[in-house]
Amino acid sequence: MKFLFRIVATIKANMRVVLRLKLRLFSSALTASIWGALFILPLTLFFRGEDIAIALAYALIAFSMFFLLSTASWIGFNIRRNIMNGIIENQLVSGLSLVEFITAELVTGLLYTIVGIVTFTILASIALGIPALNIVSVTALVIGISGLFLLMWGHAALIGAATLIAGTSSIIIELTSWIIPLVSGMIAPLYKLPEPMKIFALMTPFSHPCELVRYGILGIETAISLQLELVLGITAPLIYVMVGYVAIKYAFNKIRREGFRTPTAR
Amino acid sequence: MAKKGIEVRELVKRYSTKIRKGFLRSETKVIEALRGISFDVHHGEVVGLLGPNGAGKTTTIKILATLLLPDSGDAFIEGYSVVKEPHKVRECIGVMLTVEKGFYPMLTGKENLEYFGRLYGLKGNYLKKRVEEILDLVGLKELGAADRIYEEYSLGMRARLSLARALLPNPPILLLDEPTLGLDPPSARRIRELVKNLVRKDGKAVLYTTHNMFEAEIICDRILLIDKGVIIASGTPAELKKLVRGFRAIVLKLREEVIANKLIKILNTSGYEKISKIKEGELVNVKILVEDPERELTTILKLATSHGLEIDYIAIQEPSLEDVFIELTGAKE
Amino acid sequence: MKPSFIDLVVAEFKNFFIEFLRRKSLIIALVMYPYLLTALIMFIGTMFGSLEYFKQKIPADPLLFFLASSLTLLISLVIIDDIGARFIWEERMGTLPYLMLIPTSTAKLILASPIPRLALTSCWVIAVLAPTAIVIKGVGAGLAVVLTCLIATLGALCFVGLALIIGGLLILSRGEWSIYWVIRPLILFISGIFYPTALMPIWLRILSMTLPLSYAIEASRMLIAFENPEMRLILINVTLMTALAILYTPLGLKTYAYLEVRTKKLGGLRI
Repeated sequence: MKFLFRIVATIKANMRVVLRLKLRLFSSALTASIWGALFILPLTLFFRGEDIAIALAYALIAFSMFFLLSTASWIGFNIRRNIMNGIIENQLVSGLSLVEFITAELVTGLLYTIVGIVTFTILASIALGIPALNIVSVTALVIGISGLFLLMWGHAALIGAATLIAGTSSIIIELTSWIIPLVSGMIAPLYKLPEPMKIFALMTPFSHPCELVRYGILGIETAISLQLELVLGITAPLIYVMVGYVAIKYAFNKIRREGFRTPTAR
Repeated sequence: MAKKGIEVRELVKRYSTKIRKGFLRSETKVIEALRGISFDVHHGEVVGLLGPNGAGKTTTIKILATLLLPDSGDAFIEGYSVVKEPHKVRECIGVMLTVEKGFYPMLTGKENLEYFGRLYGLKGNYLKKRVEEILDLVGLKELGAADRIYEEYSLGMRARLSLARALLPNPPILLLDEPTLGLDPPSARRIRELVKNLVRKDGKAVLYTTHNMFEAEIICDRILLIDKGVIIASGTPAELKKLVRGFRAIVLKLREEVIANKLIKILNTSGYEKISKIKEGELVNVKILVEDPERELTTILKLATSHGLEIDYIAIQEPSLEDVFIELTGAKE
Repeated sequence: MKPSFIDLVVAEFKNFFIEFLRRKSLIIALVMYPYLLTALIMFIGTMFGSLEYFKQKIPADPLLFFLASSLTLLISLVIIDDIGARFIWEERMGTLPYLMLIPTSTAKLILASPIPRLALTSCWVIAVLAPTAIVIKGVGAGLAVVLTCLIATLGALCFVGLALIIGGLLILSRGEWSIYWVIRPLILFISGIFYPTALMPIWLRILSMTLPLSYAIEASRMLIAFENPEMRLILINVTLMTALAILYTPLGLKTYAYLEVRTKKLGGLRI
């Protein structure tokens, strides 16, 4: 129970900061909405005028997946910076583990993400019409969303480990946040993908929870049987979490032994 | 008397800050950072601006560096007004602000200096020669750090590079804001030696802010004690010490802070006023300024033993600059 | 010693290229971004919708349309970031006060700062656009590629005045990142970077008319992606953005100078 207490305490502290920096919460929601609109509006060009509501619903789900992965990436990336700036160090010596730290950060990050998605949905609904969202299966949706959260945790931990070990730059993190959703079936239904891409996407943990969410809220058929997808939708992210856990533990022990890797001049 | 490099006349600066009173409510508070300070710095001297945090030291440096405009008053650098002729002023000054950052992290020390040199209008072979010369002067070459990227620099190296940038255009005036803050003793000593040499050899005028009394005592020709935006005393270190003339200090070293606090309370109730407390490693020093230390020591010891307080070490000292500072600013800890 | 504008440009060139070559990720980003942005929109668009509908709405080649848009976005960001947001980046590194201490106006330095990145990005626009345009439209598209690049670069330069105002406001707000993060995509959105302004609601269209970038985007896309580009319309767009630049640049310089003094009065510079 102690670990829960520590996580809650960290979330509480983070939330205090969020409430104190109201402008930042508001602007991050607005920023996310504008970026969303920037990429989603051109998608409507590929639809008939009367299908805008469907286009918006598809685009909204794609945007949310993209946004969630991006949030996880930045949480992972900031671990190194926060350690180097001495922000995490004090929390670690006060008994908070990196695992607990990531969990608390994820909850705070989710708050920003959700506020962003909701703001975007409201603005898009006012400007273009209400997206045609229709819950087809609550089970698929719940498992899909749970799987997505697990994925975020695993991804944050893996990116955290990579940046701790290799000092990966922010631009590389940003690029991976673009490439992964494109190639792993996070933003487009698998059955629509070309065969080699579909096989590749099925082998990644990212596609499964996304397929379930798309089925649950848009009614888009899954590429493999729904029963199998329901199992994979939670087990694949769980495996990803375990990989992330091992990686961050290894990375943290490595930097405790060897210190940080910094770039050198030539 | 040497020519005046810096003339400060009746500088006043107020800041308004917002104080949070609730989720949506906040209150605006006006802080008077400078309340009409005036002083001069001549060529060939180091003048120390000494004061506690928030006294107005950095505000003064910022105004002199043209980074901040005063609400009233003016200052002149080599005769140029910081308010009306900022470009001219900038041609005459070298400034060192915070030492821990202020350079491009992915550029080497040398590349950073070359960049800033070009911004100062230095170019070609002269720039290259000047950068080499300065790197050598501040000891970065000797440390093998000139071609290392800034991100890898230690705090000491960063401070040296910061001083190097200030010296790059060879300005007659140096404004140094706590240049040795957080540095290890050898780096701090190197910076102090460099500054002293520049003043002696090149006749530069230096305004040096610090709250390190020891440093102020050894580097500054004159000291201005500033507190709450007002200069409360000025003079050479020896002149300032005379302000508490007639007093000497009884220093009592105690093992625990609780005991020190107890002792201070007892001494206060017994009529002793000029008391300060300073932590020194594991021990806590309690300093009492008195006119007749030999006589007072017996009374103080009696008071301590009657309350069961254990004292580890006793000494009688001449008052230091620190005592003057504490006495005048009222800072007890 | 007072540095000339050329001295400042030389300093910025050296600084930029040393850092650019040392941070390989910057090279990767420059190379990949136009392709990634185009791929993302085209991928989702064709997965969920259809190219036919696109062509019904816009008489243009979709690949060239989005590629030209992405490249114009890259060029526009040079000005928005290097002029508008230069202050907050420098403030973060602690270099801002030292840049303000050089014996010339800070605005002059700020104007010199985007030139290296602008030159590099413009070359990259040609490198990316030329092969794609030649494959789709034939060898004759070579001239259109060069003209597109020129229009996009000119459009970015026409935005300097507004970027200076943004920069001044950011410095006055004590380097408030939140404002910058909102302004950055908002400008691109209103300028119709990926969505033609003609299809936007009227109030957004009016807003977009005040931004020189809108005209640059419209003209460059028309030139490279449209099946039968109307030279008259392209010229009108170029004229309008130049006219706006003539209005905004002196206004931007004056506003920046005022805001810098105001910041110094309020004690807003973080050191």
